[in-house]
Amino acid sequence: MTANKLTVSPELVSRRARAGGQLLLQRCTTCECTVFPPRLLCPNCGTETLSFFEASRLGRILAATRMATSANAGAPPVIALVELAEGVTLMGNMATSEPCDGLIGRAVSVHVSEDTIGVTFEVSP
Amino acid sequence: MSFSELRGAAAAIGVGLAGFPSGNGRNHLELVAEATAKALADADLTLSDIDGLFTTNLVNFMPVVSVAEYLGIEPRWVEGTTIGGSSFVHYAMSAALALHAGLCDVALIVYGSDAGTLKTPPISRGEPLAYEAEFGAPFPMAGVALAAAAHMHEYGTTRRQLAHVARAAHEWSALNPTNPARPDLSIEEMLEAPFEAYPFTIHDCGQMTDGAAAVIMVSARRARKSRRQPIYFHGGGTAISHRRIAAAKSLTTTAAVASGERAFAMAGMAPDQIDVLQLYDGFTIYPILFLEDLGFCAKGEGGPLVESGAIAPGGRLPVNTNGGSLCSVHPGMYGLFLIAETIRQLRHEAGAAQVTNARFGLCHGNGGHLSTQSTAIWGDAPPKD
Repeated sequence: MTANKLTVSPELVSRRARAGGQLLLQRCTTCECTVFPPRLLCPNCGTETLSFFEASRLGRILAATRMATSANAGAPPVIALVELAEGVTLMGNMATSEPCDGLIGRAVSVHVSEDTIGVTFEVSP
Repeated sequence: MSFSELRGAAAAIGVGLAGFPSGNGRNHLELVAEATAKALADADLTLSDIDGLFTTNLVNFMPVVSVAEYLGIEPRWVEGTTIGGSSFVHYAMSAALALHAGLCDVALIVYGSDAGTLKTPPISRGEPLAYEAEFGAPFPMAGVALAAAAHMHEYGTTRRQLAHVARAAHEWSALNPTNPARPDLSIEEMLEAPFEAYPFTIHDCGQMTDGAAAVIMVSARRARKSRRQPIYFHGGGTAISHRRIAAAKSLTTTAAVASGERAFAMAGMAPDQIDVLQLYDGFTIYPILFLEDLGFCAKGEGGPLVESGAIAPGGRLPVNTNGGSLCSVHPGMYGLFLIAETIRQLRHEAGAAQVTNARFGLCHGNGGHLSTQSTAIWGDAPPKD
């Protein structure tokens, strides 16, 4: 993808890609930082030179909690913060019965749809 | 002009509290008015003296406007910064600024909530937090729980140490007869409760109540004529971190590092000069984090510090001498109650909860889930120059 000035809504582009199972991150071609969720201006250097690329979807758990009562009845009860390999952090749900205190640092992969992000353990081959 | 001109520029001369543990069916504006009336009586002023209004809340579209209309005032200076519960600590600095500049002469800082009884729905329900709400993450509990889990992992902070924060709050609360009596649970009993959001049980989380507070500030010059001992604003600082917990630069070090540095710089003071602390305690991890990040102990040592008993009655570093929001009042935004308790301590009116020789007090407010921080330092006399 080229580093054009963005003429559409980065949020819409990202959501449409997620509907197809694709997780797009942005990289700033001026300062090279990685950005998620999508923005119009680079939050690091302020320039409008963000371009999309597809994430590896691999990362590690930074923190996890298990809600006794989820605020979203359909969501799996574990909420995790995942630091992706590309250096951005996002939130997702994990369906696991493992205790929370053993989850930090575990390797995971994320899978997306338009309005959910699921996190599963990445098993080394 | 530099920011250090605000040091000692203004003082609190009136405080009013109302509506807790219960507002008895009064709505939030009625409780705002009740607290205001008490503060005005305390300051020996009338409603028509108020020409500066500093307020926000969780339920009005334009809180400053709703409160001004309800009270019947037309302030010439207003401030409605909404950064969570820390907003009110920020207002102390903001009021000092406005009073120093002559933009108003009598500043009313006020908050009221009926969150315990009438449970007016918060206006934030109209904005489910994108990239967070869809995961069933209740705001702010989920984000704070994640931060606590990270702190435990990185520094070895334990659930037992979190329970010590709740235990200390209970012991201070027992010294405040206007607080309702609470079951005297041991640390072990607290640890046995089921998790609400790992690592928090119900004992780690403040439970919603009604409540209202009002503080009246004037310029230092005008304060000299007040009938009550003025409590002087010495320094303040505010820092903004994140809206979503995933956007926090660190889960384990908060923006209190920045807000504290700014407040101590304005006051020309250091942590070892503070006699009494009021630290936002919506969740037990907060005092641990803020003791570290404000410089009262090394990073990662907050858990052992609270476990030592230092923050409890009789300890060398009294924290939350009114019982905190864990045990006294937790009406959705707690920040102004930190200021009210600081003033009570520095006026030496805290009775059994009085800290001996309290001359300087620090209040520190959190907003959101570690989203914002604001620190204010107060003294019982003008700064010595």
